Amino acid sequence: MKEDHIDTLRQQDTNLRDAIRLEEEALPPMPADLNARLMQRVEEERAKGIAKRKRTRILWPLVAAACVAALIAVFLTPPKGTPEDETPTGKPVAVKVDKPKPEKKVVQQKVAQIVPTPSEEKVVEQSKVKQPVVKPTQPLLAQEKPVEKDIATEEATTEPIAENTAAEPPHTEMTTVILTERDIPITRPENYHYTPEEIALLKKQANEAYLKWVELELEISKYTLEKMAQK
Amino acid sequence: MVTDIETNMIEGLKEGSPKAQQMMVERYGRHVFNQVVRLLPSVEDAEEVYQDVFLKVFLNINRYEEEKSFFKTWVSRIAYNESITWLRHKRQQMIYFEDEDGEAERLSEAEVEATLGHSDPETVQLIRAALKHLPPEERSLITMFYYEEMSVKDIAYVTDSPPNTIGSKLFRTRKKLCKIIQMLQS
Repeated sequence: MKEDHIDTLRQQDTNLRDAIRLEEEALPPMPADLNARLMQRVEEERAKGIAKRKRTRILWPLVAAACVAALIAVFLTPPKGTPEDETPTGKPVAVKVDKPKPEKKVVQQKVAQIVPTPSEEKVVEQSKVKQPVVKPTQPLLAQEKPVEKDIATEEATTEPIAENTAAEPPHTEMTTVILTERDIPITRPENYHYTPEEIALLKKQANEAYLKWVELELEISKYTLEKMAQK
Repeated sequence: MVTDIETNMIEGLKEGSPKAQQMMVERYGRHVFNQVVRLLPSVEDAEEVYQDVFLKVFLNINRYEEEKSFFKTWVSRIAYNESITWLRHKRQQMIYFEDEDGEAERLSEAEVEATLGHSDPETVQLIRAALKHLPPEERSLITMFYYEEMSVKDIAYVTDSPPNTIGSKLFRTRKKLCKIIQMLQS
């Protein structure tokens, strides 16, 4: 449909044009205060928009901080399941410690008594010296290695004993030691108190501070008196 | 496409200047109101939609593209869309003539020209009565074409339809008016 043909309609349909013009003229007039109301609404909308923007501006940093805190919390929280990781929560910790069998020593000593060897005395001495090392109640893993080393040297010096005891499997028992918060020195109640030396030092410092304060007060009053005298 | 005064006004609107907003309301207020009141059933509804139109214009001023249309046409488009959206939302019961049997379509071009063409006061009154039986979209279309003398391209932009469709709708509406007049006469 060509636009020229449509444009001719505009010129052609005079009746229709007149009718529409009359209809348009008969339309209700625009209320005089409509624009004033509109501008008032525009102002209200603007105020609302500013308030909303301000609220968003205040909320955003808080939301961001909360998100960061949540992320840090997620990344810093240790995964559950490993017992040594539970210490920070204050729960008891189960630590597995190799406990050397005390019977072994007894056997060694008995054998040494029955079969005296040139190095018998030495063995007895060694066994006496090493006895505290192989104490069954030794709790920490850190002390475990030297004990094993000592046992090894002992066995090397007493070959018959080693032979006799070699039949026995290296019997190490896994015991569970429970660690609680009380085992951490800083959490012990007795460590909360000051020692008498510390209390004496604190008292001395307090006395010194008091004396200095008195001196300062005196100086201030002196200065005030001088000023007053000058006046 | 845009005059200097309009350019300054648009710049002011983009900056949110109340002065520019006031200027725009004074410049286009009556045009927008007439367009809205033509489509809507009551003045109260027209007032509500009128305010919505300007708020939308102020809010979306950055979307206006000079190359696509005149500023007035862009504002008309917003006013038309707001009015149509309002009508669809309210779902008001309005009775219009619908040519379901296709009787209007069967009218010849000579018949239509005879009714709408020759100047006759009596026919003008009949056409005015017939216009009230047209749906708001069609009434708005012929007003934009005959009264506001908008080009088919601009009407197509305002109503968001292809120009060919606007041409077809114009011819159909003329025939429909003729049919209504015949019905009123009989």
